[in-house]
Amino acid sequence: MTITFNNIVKTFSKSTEKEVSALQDVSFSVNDNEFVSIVGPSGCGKTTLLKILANLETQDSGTITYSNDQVPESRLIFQDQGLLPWLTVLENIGLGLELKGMESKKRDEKVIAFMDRVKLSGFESHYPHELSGGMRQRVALARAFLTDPDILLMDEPFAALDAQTRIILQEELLSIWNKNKKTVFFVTHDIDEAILLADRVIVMTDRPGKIHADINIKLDRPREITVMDNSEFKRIKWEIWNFLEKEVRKELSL
Amino acid sequence: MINFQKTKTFMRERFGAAAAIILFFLLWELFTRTNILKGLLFPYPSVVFEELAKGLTEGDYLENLFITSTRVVSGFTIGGGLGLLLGMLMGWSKKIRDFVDPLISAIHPIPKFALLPIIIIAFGIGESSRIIMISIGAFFPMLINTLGGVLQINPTYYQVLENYGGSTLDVFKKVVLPGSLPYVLTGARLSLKSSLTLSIGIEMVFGNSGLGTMLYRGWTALDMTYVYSILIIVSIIGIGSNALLARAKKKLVPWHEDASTN
Repeated sequence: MTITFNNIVKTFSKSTEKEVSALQDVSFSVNDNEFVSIVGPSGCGKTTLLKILANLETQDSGTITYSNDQVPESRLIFQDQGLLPWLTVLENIGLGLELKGMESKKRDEKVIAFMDRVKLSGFESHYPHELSGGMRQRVALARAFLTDPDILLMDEPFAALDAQTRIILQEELLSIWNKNKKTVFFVTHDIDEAILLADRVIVMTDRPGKIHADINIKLDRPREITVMDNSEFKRIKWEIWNFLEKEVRKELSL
Repeated sequence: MINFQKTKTFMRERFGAAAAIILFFLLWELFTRTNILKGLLFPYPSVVFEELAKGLTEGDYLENLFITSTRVVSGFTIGGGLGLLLGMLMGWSKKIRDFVDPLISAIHPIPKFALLPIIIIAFGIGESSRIIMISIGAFFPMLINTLGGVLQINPTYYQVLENYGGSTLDVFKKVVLPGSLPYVLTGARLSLKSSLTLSIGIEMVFGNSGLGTMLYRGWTALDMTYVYSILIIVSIIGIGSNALLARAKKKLVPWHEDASTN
């Protein structure tokens, strides 16, 4: 299934302020099971794009079309606070399946099997506040993958983690994705992260968000963290940074 | 699995509280026996407890305790229940909130006891007037806390349910109800306290049954031994209901930070 964005426009208006243009004429298309990273300065509408895909926001104009004419199922993974504090790890991971109406015995079996894969075994009856940030995001990943959606939408999911934990979660995400291929939209501020994970990196401009560049990442898969030493990786990284630096400086001097 | 460390701390806290109460009465006994404290206000505590024991075994203490408790529970159930319902609805729908809020804000600050004359004239001097008054007292703390509880829920949780295809009923069961529960329980505690206060007050005014009436009789007879013995019963209801709700909170909201400390 190919997803095509045609001239997506989104403007936010707060009654007291002037209108803020979040997305302007955003057009691109994404192939089945493609891993797409989206980078750009703060407030460039990256998150808005995800929320439109997740049906939590509606665009002002423009269309999103799907090659098989069916609206796909998409799961959003939040930066943090995406887990319900009053549910245990077992219940949080099983939430998606529960809402789909799967009976509890079958659900728990599936959840426990998946927990082993994301190294959460033994934490079934813990509550989110008893877990580290890294473990909470593993719970969020497990919950999303278990419902087997067509699209995974990730909104800076590792931004709140420390640098070491972030690298480990990136590798784990790659390993899960390799076994359960899906179309992924991954919003991040971290250029290394964007390149490491993706097949394509879409670079957006400062507000109003437009697409500045669409870069294919032709690094071999499966990838590990050492790919960052690769000269092609470095070349892409500095190309993106040179552009983003200008955009961020523009924003800072306003 | 029993957590021995926790149990130990719990026992120590309980022991501390009991020791403080015993010490308080011992000192009082000492000061009254040595005439440092004297007069109408300070009967011997040992005599107060004697009076209490006699009242419980031979007197009408238990009967009146039952009467007052029934009123408190009825008013709390009716008023607290309605407060819970309206609080949920107001938290749920901005339309209902905008419509009802001005009325609530206007009535809430009135001391509820001041409404007694109106209620008596409207409903007469009977059981129904008492229950209505207690219900009004129970209603507001429950309403305000439930509303606050629903409104403080992080909007992200609603988005999670929406993203996972949850129905309105799912949102209520998985987000609204559990998310507001710690606040609802606080509301219940305040609501119960308000019910007890109003119940005692009304019984003092109406003067035919209940612990409030007994307090009133003791006061007019200047029998402070009797008054103190009733006060002990009233305190036990208050402390008991608080402890019960604290236990409920620990059990119902194990995920909440407060649950482990209180």
